Amino acid sequence: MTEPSISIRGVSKSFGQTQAVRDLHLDVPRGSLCGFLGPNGAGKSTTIRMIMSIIYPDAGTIEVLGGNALANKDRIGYLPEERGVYRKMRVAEFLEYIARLKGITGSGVRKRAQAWLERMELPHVARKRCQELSKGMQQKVQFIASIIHEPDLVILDEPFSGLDPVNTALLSRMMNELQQQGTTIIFSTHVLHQAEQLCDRIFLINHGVKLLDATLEEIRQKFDPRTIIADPLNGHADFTRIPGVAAAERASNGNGYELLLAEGADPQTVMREIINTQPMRSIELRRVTLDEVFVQLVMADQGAAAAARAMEELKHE
Amino acid sequence: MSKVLAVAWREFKYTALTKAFIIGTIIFPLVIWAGMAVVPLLFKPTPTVVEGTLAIVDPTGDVVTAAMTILNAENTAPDPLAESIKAAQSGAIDAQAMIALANDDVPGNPFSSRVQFNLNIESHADTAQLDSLHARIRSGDLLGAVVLEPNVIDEMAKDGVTLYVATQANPDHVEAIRRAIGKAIVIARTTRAGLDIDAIEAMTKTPILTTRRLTEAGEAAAGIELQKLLPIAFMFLLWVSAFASGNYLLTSTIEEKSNKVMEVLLSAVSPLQLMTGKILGQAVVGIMTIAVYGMLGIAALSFFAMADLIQIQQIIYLALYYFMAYFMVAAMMAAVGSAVSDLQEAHAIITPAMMVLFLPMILFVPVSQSPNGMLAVITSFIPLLTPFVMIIRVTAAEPVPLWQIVLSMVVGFGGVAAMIWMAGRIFRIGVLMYGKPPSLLELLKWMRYS
Repeated sequence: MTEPSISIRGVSKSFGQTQAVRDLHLDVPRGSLCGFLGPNGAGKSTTIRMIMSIIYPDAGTIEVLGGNALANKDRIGYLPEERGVYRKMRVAEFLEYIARLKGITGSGVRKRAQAWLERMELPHVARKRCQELSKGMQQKVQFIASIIHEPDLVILDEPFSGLDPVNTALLSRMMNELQQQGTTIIFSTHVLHQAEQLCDRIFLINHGVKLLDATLEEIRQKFDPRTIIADPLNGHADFTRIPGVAAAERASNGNGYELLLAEGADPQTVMREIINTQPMRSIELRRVTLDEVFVQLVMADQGAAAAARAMEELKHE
Repeated sequence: MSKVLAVAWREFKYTALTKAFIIGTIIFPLVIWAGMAVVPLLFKPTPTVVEGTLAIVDPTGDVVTAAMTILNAENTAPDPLAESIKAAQSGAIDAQAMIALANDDVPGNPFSSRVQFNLNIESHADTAQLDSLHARIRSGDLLGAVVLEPNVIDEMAKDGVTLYVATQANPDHVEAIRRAIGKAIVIARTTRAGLDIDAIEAMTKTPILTTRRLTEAGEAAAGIELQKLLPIAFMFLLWVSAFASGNYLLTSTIEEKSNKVMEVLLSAVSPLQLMTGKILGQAVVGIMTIAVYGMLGIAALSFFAMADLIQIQQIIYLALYYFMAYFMVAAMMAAVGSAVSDLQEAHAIITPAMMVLFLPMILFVPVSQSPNGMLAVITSFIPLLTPFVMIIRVTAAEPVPLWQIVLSMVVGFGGVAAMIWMAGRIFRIGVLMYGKPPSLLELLKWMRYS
């Protein structure tokens, strides 16, 4: 593979007493679609702003597209977390203005803006003032503004926040299309399952520390599932007697039980044993979710108390 | 560079090509200017008519005769304002003379409380019926009664005339009657002495002095008053346009921060490019303001055939000192705008500097009176004041030593460079700061960040 799009080496950043990012190392491969995950306040936006050279690291180096982000500004598309539009400007004019600032000149700009508005299902807004658009529509316009100059690298900070499911799906589709055209995309989100459906690579950070940097496939292999969902035919059963089951709880939806596997137990053996001991309506091995991976990683890294806190944080989002 | 120009163009377009700006900057002065022509007409009072019967107790009988003459004559005098404007336009008299003529207290002057008379004069030779006159005044039957002692005419006594009026009498009318009677007494006295009052008035009236300036092409009316006002007008023009566009810059920077478009912009341009573009864009707005107001001024001068009072080097000075003033104000506004989240916070920080910048409003009086005085010279070299003080001095009649002009340029543009440097340092940090507004001390700290 060629050199990475973004290469972060030993970067730290503090704001006063708060250490936002600690000794971060990261490589974003060219052409990948990476999710940059973590709960609120994990240090995602700080890292992204450092990648964009909007703020500078206290220590370490960041290379973007083989150089410094400032020098390559026109090849990068950026949708900041703190994003807005000129309220009085017309949509098409706003997009043209941003394109011009991104170094696009010539008469094709207007056509390009119009084509993108249509792709983003905003066909009749070009002549409207930005303030006349709904928040979701504004966000789609901002997305267009970040990619209108056809950048090699797109950085989207919380692109899905505030979007309804229809527009979330639309935006995901656009991101996939861009990736297929060879664009490297990195986006941050605190909603972990969004990333699961979209990314081919995931970076997970918490409290400024990288917890995970792997492809989804690697994650699924590495974090084998530890939960079995078992729904007995007669409604209830005592699963704790079965070897390999460490704990059994009523499932949160009321149908059956969630069985936590004991350390070292093989899920296949345990499931066979359950079917052998009693009649079952259904039994399945649950897929690992990123939420669980995250909690496990926090547990391993910072102990049980931190893991419980992390679980709380995820629930709130 | 094309990015800076793109920023500048947007800044200009969204400031100057808006309805609010066009109405505020271009149409409003036009309305004011048109208003100056119309307002005097509005203020021109409809003459009120003094009607009724006035009793005059005059033992000599001369005053009654004279009073009747002037009360009739006053209704037929020409309107001096219209006459004087006509004269000024044709270049026959200068502005000073025009003002003197227009203010001359004659009937028809829009600014004098002129009244017309439609009086019956009731003549009495003695005070025998004084009580009954009083009673008639109280009942409203009589407008008033004038009682003269004979010595008023015979011995030129300074007092001895009494005017009785009702409590509710119109003070304007009373004043008009007093003047008419006063004049009647003077006429009676001169007639008694065998003199011609018209001849005396004609002889004692100071003639209007017309000053003619000899210009290259010929001669023109001398606008002494206007020449004195010109430096002040130049300073106001400079001040208003520098501040107006500085203020637009402040508002637009705060707007970009508060509607969060700032970070989008900064992903495309550097803070310095953004600031430069914005400052340049607003500079053009300011030049346009100056041009509009300046042209109106020149148009007004042309109206009175005095456009040649403005010389080309004054316009060059105006341009130079405008850039000096504007860039100082703009650098300050950009720095403050970047550091705060709303206008209120901006005003808290900017107030101390504004106090200095408001000084020209006080200084223009002594500086324009004495353009080469100590105060004028010293304040010429205080960077924030330089352009405002210097524009007064270079447009005033007294020539300013060349070395002072050169030094003012060095000091002024040196100050501009320093302020833009500081503003750039603050701007690049400030644009990304949200929350609590910084103190002046913190702003100084930002300048030192690498």
